[in-house]
Amino acid sequence: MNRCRRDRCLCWLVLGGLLSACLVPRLAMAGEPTAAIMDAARKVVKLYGAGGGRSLEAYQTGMLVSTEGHVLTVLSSVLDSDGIDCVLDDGRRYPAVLIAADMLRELALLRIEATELPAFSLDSPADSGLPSARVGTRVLALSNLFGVAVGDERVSVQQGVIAARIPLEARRGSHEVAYRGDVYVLDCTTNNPGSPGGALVDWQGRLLGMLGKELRTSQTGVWLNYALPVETLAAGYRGLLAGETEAERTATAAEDVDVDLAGLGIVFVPDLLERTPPFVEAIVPDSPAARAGLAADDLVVAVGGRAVSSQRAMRQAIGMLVAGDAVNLTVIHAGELLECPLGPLPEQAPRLVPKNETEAEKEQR
Amino acid sequence: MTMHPDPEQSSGRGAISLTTLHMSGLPWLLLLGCLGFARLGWGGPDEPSGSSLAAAEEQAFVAAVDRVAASIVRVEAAGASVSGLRPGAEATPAIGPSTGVVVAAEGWIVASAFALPADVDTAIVTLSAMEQTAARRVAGRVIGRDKGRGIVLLKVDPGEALPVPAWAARDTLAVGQWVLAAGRGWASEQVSIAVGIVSATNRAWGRAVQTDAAVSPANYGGPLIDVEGRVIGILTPLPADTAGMQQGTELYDAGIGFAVPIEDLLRVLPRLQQGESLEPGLLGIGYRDRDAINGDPVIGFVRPGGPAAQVGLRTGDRIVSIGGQKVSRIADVRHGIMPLYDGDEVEMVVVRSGRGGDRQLTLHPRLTAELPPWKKGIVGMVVERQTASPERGRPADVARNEDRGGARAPSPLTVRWVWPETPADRMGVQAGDRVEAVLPGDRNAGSDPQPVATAAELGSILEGYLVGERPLLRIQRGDQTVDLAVELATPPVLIPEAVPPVEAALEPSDPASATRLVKLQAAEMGEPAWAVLPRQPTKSLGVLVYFDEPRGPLDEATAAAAAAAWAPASARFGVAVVFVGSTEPNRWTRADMANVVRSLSALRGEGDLDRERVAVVGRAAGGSFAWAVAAALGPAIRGVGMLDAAIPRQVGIDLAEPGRWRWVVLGGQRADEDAGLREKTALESAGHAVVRMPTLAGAAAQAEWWCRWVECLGLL
Repeated sequence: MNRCRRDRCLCWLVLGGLLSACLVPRLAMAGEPTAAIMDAARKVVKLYGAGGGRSLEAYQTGMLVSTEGHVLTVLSSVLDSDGIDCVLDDGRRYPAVLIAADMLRELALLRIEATELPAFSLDSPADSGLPSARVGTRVLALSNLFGVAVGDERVSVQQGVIAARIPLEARRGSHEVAYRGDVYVLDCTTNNPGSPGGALVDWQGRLLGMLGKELRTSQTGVWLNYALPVETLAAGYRGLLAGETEAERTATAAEDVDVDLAGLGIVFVPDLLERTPPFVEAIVPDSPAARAGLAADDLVVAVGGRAVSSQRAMRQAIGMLVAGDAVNLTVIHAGELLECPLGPLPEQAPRLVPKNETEAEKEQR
Repeated sequence: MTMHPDPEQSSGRGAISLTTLHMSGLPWLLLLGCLGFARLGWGGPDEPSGSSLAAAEEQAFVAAVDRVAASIVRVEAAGASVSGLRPGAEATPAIGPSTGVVVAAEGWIVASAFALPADVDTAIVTLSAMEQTAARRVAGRVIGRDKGRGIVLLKVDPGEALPVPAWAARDTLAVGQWVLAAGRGWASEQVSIAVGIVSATNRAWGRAVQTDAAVSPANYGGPLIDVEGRVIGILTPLPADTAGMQQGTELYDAGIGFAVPIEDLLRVLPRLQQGESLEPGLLGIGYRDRDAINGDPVIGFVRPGGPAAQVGLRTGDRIVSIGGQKVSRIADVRHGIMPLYDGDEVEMVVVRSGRGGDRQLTLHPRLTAELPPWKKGIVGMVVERQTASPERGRPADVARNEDRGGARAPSPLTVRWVWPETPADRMGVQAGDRVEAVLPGDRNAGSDPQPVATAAELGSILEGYLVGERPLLRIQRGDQTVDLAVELATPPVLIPEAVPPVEAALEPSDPASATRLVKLQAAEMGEPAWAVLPRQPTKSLGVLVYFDEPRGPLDEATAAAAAAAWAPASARFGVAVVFVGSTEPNRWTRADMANVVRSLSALRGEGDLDRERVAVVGRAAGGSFAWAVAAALGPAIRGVGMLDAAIPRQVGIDLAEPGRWRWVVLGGQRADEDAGLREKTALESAGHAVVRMPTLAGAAAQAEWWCRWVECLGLL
């Protein structure tokens, strides 16, 4: 897979090269995004820092978000360095200092000692009464993918459309990513070393988002080509300027909760696999589940209309609810799909069980 | 896309041609439409300003998807699939939410088998919102499957008519036209869009349209549509088998996506609705040429009891047309057969050479889903090897031609020795007999004799018989011609103690002088390999590649020490013994496999090799690696030997087929233990020949046994 992915990139690199070679106004024609690229590229920077091991690249991309040298990028190990180098579009090179980090959105704010810089506006197009990006909007992705833009070379450009806008559900290796906000999924392959932190702009050069880190989707494990929308960047940027680093960190806590479902009256088959399907083993008599008509061998397929394919996903979905919220399960019962409203979530259950608690300790409680 | 620019509008062509490289007439329509509508207010506040063409294209893409959106549903497997839990999940996507398309208003939906593998029979289908109804989930039952195309037909009970999209005819497709891949795998409430072009109209052996739009688990089962919102086909992963792929999911988001043409699916829709599972149709032939793409379409073997055998197709027949289409290479035949189903009848024209010249035959085999099981059978004779050509280091193209079964003056097919207590022995076949032809015997009695010129050809013809059948061998003995009915028997489990030496003249008192040690080094080869081989062989050489436990690269001194024990047997039985070191100090890796391939091609420069007698053997980890090498190299490896080694689980055992069966040696203590005995049973029931290696003391005795076995690999 990797090779295919990279091969495809190569052809976009060629395209990028062609476009940068053609950045001459007389060639700009109706229907080509040349002017937009030229404008956006001035605000994109190449960042070099720590890394350099076999699997960790030492470079990524960033974007200028203020005329006074604020650079917004993704928070990554590349920045885990005493000396971060920032190379501007015109080739000027500055040391950059990490001034704040947003652990939830995995954003980092850097500062370089320079002024009168071109910078992206983090205003959403909608704020200024312009149409915002939608599924199908043509986009351009500017980044230093694979680090091929060396020295003062301009970053590479890829083109595509916004394929979808969905809440992020992804993992890095086997770790679920904490951030669950909306992202743009792209139909071009931006999931490459060096791309994170790159700019996603429309064909008028307006900032739509920032290319995200290399992640796989939780559900199928495919590489995700995505960007954080500009609204998220704006919120993150405001927080970073205000020094909310620690506050944001605590917001990540509700990531992987375990839920005791006995309060609802459902006993599931033993959760032995990574993705054990939520088959009902037994129903506690006189419980909310029993009253809703659930029975042994039913398969829970959705919680509150949101599909769940494993017991873990189901526990997470119920864990998002607070006491009093309506619990609505969708189950397959004898080949038919049934909606089962269980009523409000009981006050005492489900309890949040610390993840590292042993089965024996659970028994005791 | 049938519209083309009018001549009078061509003045604008130069201005936009750069952006329309991929397109036919569409941009013209859009440009004109856009200019025309701009005054009417199209392109108001919702419309991105800037370039009108780009904006118009974007509008058209979104509008096209909108047109089919109501027919696009989300599909999720209900429950877990064991077959979906594939190992190596990092490399290939796992089953997850995917897409489906309504094909009939009463609730018939097609989806991809990716989302609904064979052991899943219920799906959760999220129907899109319609005018009167909100989006909702319903249960879907798997009714039919098209297994050759990876498509599943679902039935839901929608309670109201579902919207059926418009279809695009396949013959209107043009490479380069814009297409859109749509899906609901990312989110049930919105249809995702990926933009691309038609890359090819007839791919994956005639089963698919190819696109460069991003196709992945999120839109598998979804439609590939044209800019007018008509469905061209259903997106599904199909393997690029020419690149050795098994599933096709390896290609997700890689610029290569496939869609099964909707026309093809609608044609079989009534059968799928009846609950049929449509299997790909098999013909039951193999080819003489090893190049499975550009090779000559000459039949190498015919599976006994298969459709080809039933209509009388024979080894040596040249296929000249399939289904009315002329064919000139193996790929053409596959193009004709692969789109067909079990039960389909196909017209084949073949040319058969015989005493009376060439004859053209038209046959109508009916394809089948499954071929009768096949097991290797033998008659019990070993024929003379080809005489070695005297010169060394022949040009590579000559060698390649010969390896492909190309031109080499046929030497008479002379029996060198008869295996004791086999049907050939019992029927009185003798050393020195010349085999001229095979007659069908009790099956198809009265057919022409099939002349044979090479051991490979005779082997292929005999592989067209089942164990227990009795073909007639026409034999020239002195000036007599005799026909002997020789039954095919199960292969022997032990090899004879006495096998006449191949290179009798090369048995001097000092065996080392009869052999030489050569360094095998080729381009892109990591560590060199070494081979010990007869100094001046008169016959083509058998090959035995030996893997010990991995101990890192081999230097010359180590190789020479190992070679000493092998030299006498190598000289006596005409076997080149190859020693390969491991790249890493303590394990065999993929890089070593590439080294084996390159060593073998380097060895071809050192002498003529007998392609019926190539074996890989090893001990412990080396034995397991030998099995993996054999699996990777396919029919080029006839024998595999494993001492105290297990068959690697991730490789497994393929079913034997004519031309694709193996002689397997099991030896060492493990062969007597339960695990070894289970493997023996599994190998035999898969149709392979299994030999037990006796316990032998000393490296020289073991070397002698291995080289004797390599000679025995020529058993017919």
